[in-house]
Amino acid sequence: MSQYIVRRFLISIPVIILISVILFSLVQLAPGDAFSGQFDPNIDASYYEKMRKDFGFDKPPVEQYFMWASNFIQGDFGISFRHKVEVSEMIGNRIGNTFFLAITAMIITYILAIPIGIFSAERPYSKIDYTITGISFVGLSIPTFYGALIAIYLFSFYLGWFPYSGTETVGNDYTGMAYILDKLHHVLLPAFTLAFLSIAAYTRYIRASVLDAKQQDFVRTAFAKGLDQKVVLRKHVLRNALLPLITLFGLDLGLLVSGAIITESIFSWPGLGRLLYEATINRDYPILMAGYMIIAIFVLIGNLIADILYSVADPRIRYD
Amino acid sequence: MSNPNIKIDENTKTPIGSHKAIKGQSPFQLAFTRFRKNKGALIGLIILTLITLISIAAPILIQVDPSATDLYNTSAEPSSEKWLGTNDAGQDVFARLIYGGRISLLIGFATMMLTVLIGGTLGALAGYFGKWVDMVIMRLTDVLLTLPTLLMVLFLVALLERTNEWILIIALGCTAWASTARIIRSEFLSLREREFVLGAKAIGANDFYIIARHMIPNVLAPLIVAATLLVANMILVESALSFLGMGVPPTTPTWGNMLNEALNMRVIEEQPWLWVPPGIMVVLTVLCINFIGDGLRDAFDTKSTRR
Repeated sequence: MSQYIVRRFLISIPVIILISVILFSLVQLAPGDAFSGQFDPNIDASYYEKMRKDFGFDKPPVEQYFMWASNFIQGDFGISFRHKVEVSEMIGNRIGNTFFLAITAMIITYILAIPIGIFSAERPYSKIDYTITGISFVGLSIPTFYGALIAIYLFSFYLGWFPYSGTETVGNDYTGMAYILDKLHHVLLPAFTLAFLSIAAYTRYIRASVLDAKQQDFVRTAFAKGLDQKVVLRKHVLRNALLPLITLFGLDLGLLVSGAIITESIFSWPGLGRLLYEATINRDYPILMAGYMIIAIFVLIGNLIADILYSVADPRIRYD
Repeated sequence: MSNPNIKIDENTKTPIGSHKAIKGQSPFQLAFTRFRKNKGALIGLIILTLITLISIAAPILIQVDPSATDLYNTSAEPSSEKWLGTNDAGQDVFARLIYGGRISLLIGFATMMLTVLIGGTLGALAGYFGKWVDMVIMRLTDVLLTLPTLLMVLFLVALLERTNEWILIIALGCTAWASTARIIRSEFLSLREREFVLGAKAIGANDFYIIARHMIPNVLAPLIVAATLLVANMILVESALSFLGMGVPPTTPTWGNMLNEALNMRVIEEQPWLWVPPGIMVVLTVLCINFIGDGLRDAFDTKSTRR
């Protein structure tokens, strides 16, 4: 088991290195650097030459890559081209907000999708089951940003229930419980928008999984023993049907982050997604490199955790 | 009167022993028969065909120039003349909606073809030759599957000076092929061990012949299903990119670009006719394609019967 975890971990390292090499090469191929955009006639051209030298832009690409990589490992992500601030500091300020949003979205997904999926699978091919299946099928076809626009229109403008921007009410210095409630009030709409796609996908998945488990021999045996319907469902069906959800958790991490780029931009949510969106527009390569590397690391860690949890939770799975 | 000496087979209604060859149905004919019975998939196919035809015929159907600006008639509400009103530049929203489908569908289908070409080829190479070829290609798919397609394309677009629909198609094709390659590779891996491939090898067939004659026909079914769902996915990614202002240049009408105009809270609140219709078109198109993809999957998969 521990051997498997170690090996599984070691496999991720070349992937991360390859990602960094590819991203770095792409940036090298791109025209221009930090100084080509900001030409100021009042500043002597030799200043830019000197700055390029100081930043190491005159060195060969391979050397630059190793410079960047060794800095990155030490937590020095470089300086933002545009904001002239340490990238690590910018990301550090934002990443908490993204986690808050993503974790809320995950909780919403589980709270809604698991009961709905089970409810649907308990009465297969009934009218309500068809309705739920139909809605989740349509839900899978709605782009995140369109869902966000509809949510803002309905819940912010029409009903006025939730605010559509920021993480807290500006100007009000709430403390204690009021602060937490204010945060929750702000996070719910973007989190629900972010979770929408996952809710639809999970509901379909759980329904199929429960229906599949209900057909297994051990369920028939349990019924034949005369066990109560509820006991069979809880102890035999659900335990087997919901187990694969653990693997989805890891795969979901990437989806949540790429969804966060859109959701955070629309809801003016100061997280990593919005930072990356702004960096994309400004071609702020140090932020892009660091942000993408961090996302990749999180996705790989998510996959790793999912694999380990799955092997712990399901004794049928043996790794050697 | 029938001749009592000739026995008629009950199943085929043909005389037994008459040696008349009974033509069997190919797997694809069988799948087509099953597909035709799937109402959702058929309706999806009909609506998608309609949307495609209307988009292609846009210049004939719509007399208004979608990029013509009418500065005396900006942000107009829907009326009998301008069915969906006008945007901030006074452009006819309905005309833009019809023309918008052209680019969105073009990107969806063209990207799918490029993705299938790249992913299919690399997946086939990895699955057939194995060893280091497999190793290299699989590490590349690992990279692409770690970072979501939307993020990879955004990164590529951020590096480019400008984009147009063809650059976007190439960028999408280069980043979205990993899942297709994985599917084809796993199919090839299992096919490689099958007896008919071994037999072909034994009689001295070369690799190219075996791949073209024995392997590819056997992966067509999963490939078609994956390709169909790819079109839907690519339309979604394109609309998201254009919505973020990183896709097709804003002057070109696409559904995503039209939604980009709604990145403004005032527009969302006061001019829903600007952003509701293009979104509905994206959802409708993607929904139709998803229905077709599901129908195809059921049709090809002989094991799955509707319980």
